This record gives sequence, structure tokens and C-alpha cells, in this order.
Amino acid sequence: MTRTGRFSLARYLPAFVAFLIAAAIWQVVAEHTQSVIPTLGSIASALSANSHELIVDGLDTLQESLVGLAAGFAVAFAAAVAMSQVRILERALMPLAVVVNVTPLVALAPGLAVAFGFGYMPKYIFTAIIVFFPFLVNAGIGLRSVEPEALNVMATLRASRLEVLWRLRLPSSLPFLFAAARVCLPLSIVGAVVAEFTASGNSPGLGVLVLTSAQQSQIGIEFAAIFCLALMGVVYTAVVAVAEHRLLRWHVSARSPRN
Amino acid sequence: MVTIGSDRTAREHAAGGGLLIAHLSKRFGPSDAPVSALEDVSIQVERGRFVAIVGPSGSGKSTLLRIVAGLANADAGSVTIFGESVEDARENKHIGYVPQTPALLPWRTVARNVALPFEVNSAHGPKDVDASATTASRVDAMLQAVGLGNQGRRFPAELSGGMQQRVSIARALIFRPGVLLMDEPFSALDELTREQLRLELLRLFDDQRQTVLFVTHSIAEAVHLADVVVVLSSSPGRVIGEVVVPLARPRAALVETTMAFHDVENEVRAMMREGWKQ
Repeated sequence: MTRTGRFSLARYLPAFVAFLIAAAIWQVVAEHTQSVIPTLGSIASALSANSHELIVDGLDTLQESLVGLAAGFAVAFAAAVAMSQVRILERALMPLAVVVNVTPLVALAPGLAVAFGFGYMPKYIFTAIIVFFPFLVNAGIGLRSVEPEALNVMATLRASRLEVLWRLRLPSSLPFLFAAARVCLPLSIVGAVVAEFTASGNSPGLGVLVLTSAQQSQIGIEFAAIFCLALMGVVYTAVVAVAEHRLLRWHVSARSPRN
Repeated sequence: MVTIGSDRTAREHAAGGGLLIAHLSKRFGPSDAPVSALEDVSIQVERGRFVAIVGPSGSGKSTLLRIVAGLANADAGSVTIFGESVEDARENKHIGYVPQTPALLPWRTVARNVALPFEVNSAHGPKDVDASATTASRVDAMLQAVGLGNQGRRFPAELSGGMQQRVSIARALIFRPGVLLMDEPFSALDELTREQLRLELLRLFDDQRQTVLFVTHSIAEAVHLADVVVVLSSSPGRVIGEVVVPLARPRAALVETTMAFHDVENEVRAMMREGWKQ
């Protein structure tokens, strides 16, 4: 085995063992409570028997979360840039954003369904609203987290505001945006699923599948859908981690500790 | 170099070039109870001279440099750089600024940090005669000059503090600015690195003969580097006097062990003590 191979094994083995133990506990508990928690075998057979439905519904939920995420990020980032450039905007809008944030946003979902029907629109909007605030706060802090002396160097070169924004503030905000992405990408799945719960009807999506199969006591399908949602979250997290590793090679958080 | 006292001298100087600081005053705090940081400071730096400013904490030496760099406004007085206002000198990229911390952009490689002045305010080009040189070749030559010839592709975080400060100096000099303003650039470094960077700065100065205004709280550093040491009093900062350093160039490390060096050092120290008493 190569040196790298040994290193990888040492690194991943504890997590692998933890997963095995969790699976074993699940299996033991499920054997005794099969009406509430399905065994791993029944989840696996539900996955294979309903694969087409799970993929179709999964793509719907994926679409809702991605569109909501993109919209929420775009609006939050534009607002953060505007606030970083015009101080009075920050003083005006930040309290409003805080009020929106402390409101339990889940309560908005039924109203959105009433206003926008049972299509994709209320799901996009709800997901966008739920990811908006973490992106706004992190982008705002990131755009302000600029070393003052670096701003001074730019000032002595007579850099324009746009140049300072593009060459200094935006790159400085990247670590903060990635921190927000780590929270917001999985959160967007929560947003999409909650929106699906409240506007289910005949509309598609894994959230609807979870709700209807639970109501019909088809717990195998219910947990197969939950498994797909978890898988989506894992993929999101991995994508953020890879992008962060590539784009933030320079940042202290990306460096392995040295002695 | 002389400390000037009249507007007539100021006009003559502006025509001849160099850095002219005339009757500069700066106050901080509320208007009903202001704290004076600088009071009627006048300093003249002739083209190609190295002037160090020393003074105790609170003498306003960094404030003075910030005003010259256009980073702060004076309440009274004026600054002229080669006959231009500070605004015009910044616009034309005549100012090279080396802050106390290296202030490098951590996401850029060393070479791209040094190339930064080419990218911002790009309407104004470099001042040297060799217009055919590419940005990359200029950056390479500049990195060679500061002893970082093979470090261009590394990121700032991979460099030691001394190397980072060399990159900062290279960035300030890449455009061949008229004046180089240095705000205690070596104060965060260990003693040996300071000594080495001091020698490298001396070598660069001998090569390029920039007009330099160097702020420091180290008397030895000021005497080692400068043609003239200007001494400021503690708050408010006033020019107590200036000491001409009669040491020949190029100056080696061993110059610090000579009697002449110690004599100048003692003279500056005595002047600072006098300012402290006032």
C-alpha cells in the first residue's frame, strides 16, 4: 500500500466505522419497531422498486432548490454590494433584513401557496427567502473584511470604487460566501421540501412523496425519499467543499495544519 | 535639504521638483476640544534624497505620511510632489506606498501582487523609458531586484514576514514612482530580518535613487538609511530639527559600528530628548 493510501485509510476509517455502527443500531431498532422505522433492507428494496418515481421527484426538488438558491443568492449579493457601497442603504435595510430573519419563515409557506398556486413558483420564492439572510449577512461581512492597509495601497494608486470592489472586496468576501454556501445549500433543500409540504396537492417532489407515503403508512418509500434528500445534501456539501478547495487555496482555512 | 519657512522658497522648490511639505497642521477630535497631532510641520525632500522621520509615539509621524500619501487631509498647509498636488500625484501614480504590514492580496501570487499597480488606474502607464518591456518582464526584474527571483508563483501565506515585506516594496517600486513613502515598514520583523531588509533597501536606493520619506521609531534605522533625519516632538508633532547624516554611500552593515554612526545617532537622540521635555 502506498503512503498516500495508508494516510487516506487512517483518515476515513473512523467515519466508516461510525457509519457501520449507526447502520447496525438502526437495523436492531428497526427489527423491533417495523411499523415506525423500516429496516435497511426494506429501504433498499423501496429504492429499487420506486427508482423511476424517486428520480423524477428528486429532479423536481433539485430544480426547486437550485432555482431558489440562485435567486436568493443573486438578490442577497446584489443587496450586500449595494450596502457596502452606500452606507445609508445599509443603515436602512439591515434592520429590515434582521426582522425578516427573526420571523419564523416556515409560516410564510402556506400563504405563498395561496398567492402563487401549486406550481413551482411558491417553492422557488420560499427557498429563495430562506437562504437570503445567511447569504446577505456573510456577503456583507465579507465585503467589509478588507485589510485597511490594502485599501490604502489601492487609494495611493487612485483605484476607482469599482476597481476596489472587483479586485479587493469581492475576493476578500469569498471565504465568507463559502461559509454561507455550506449552510445555504443544504438549507435550500429544507426550503424546497417545506414548500412542497404546504402546497402538495398533486404536485411532484420528494417532499410530497414523503408526506403522501407517510400518510399511507408506506414507510419504506417514505424513508427511501428521505434517503434521496440526504444524498442530495451530501452532494451539495461535496460540491461546496471541492469548489472551496480549488478557489480558496490561498486562504488559511484551506491549508493543512503545519508544525 | 532645509526646513523651509517661506512661501517664496516653496514656489522655487515646486518648480525644481522633489517633495515639499509646507506648514502642515492636523487636529483630531471634536471641534470644541481638538487634539493637535501636527503643528506647522515643514519639510523639504530634494529629488533623489532619502529622508527619515523619527519621533516618539504620538508625534504624528504616521499621520504626516498618511497626509503626504493622500490618505488623510490636513487642516492647514500643503503638500507638493514634483510640483503636483497629492491628488494629481496619486492620479499619475507618482506615489509608491509601503505600509507597516505588507498588505498583500492573499489570493494573488507574489508576481500578481507586484503587478497590481499595472491593473488599477491603468490609464496611467509606468514611468521608465523602456516602453517595450512587458508587465511580466518588469515584474520578474523587480522580483530579482528584491531577492525574490524564483518566488513569483508562490502565495503570500507561503512566505516569511520579511519576504512578504520585500514583495510589498517591489509592488511600490514597480511603477518607478517619483516618491516612495514608507510607514515603519520593518517594525513588525525580527531584528536580523530588519537588518537584512535595511541593507537591501540601501542597495535598491543606490540603484534607483528614488525620493524616499521613511517613518520609523528606530534611531539606528533612520541613521543607517537616510541622508537626513528629521526629528519630531511628541504631541503635537513639530519639527525640532534635522540631522544631516555624513556617512558615504554605499553603506555596509558595518557602518553601524563606526564612531561617525554613533555620533549621528547620539545627536538625533539628544534632539529627541529635547523634544520630549518640551
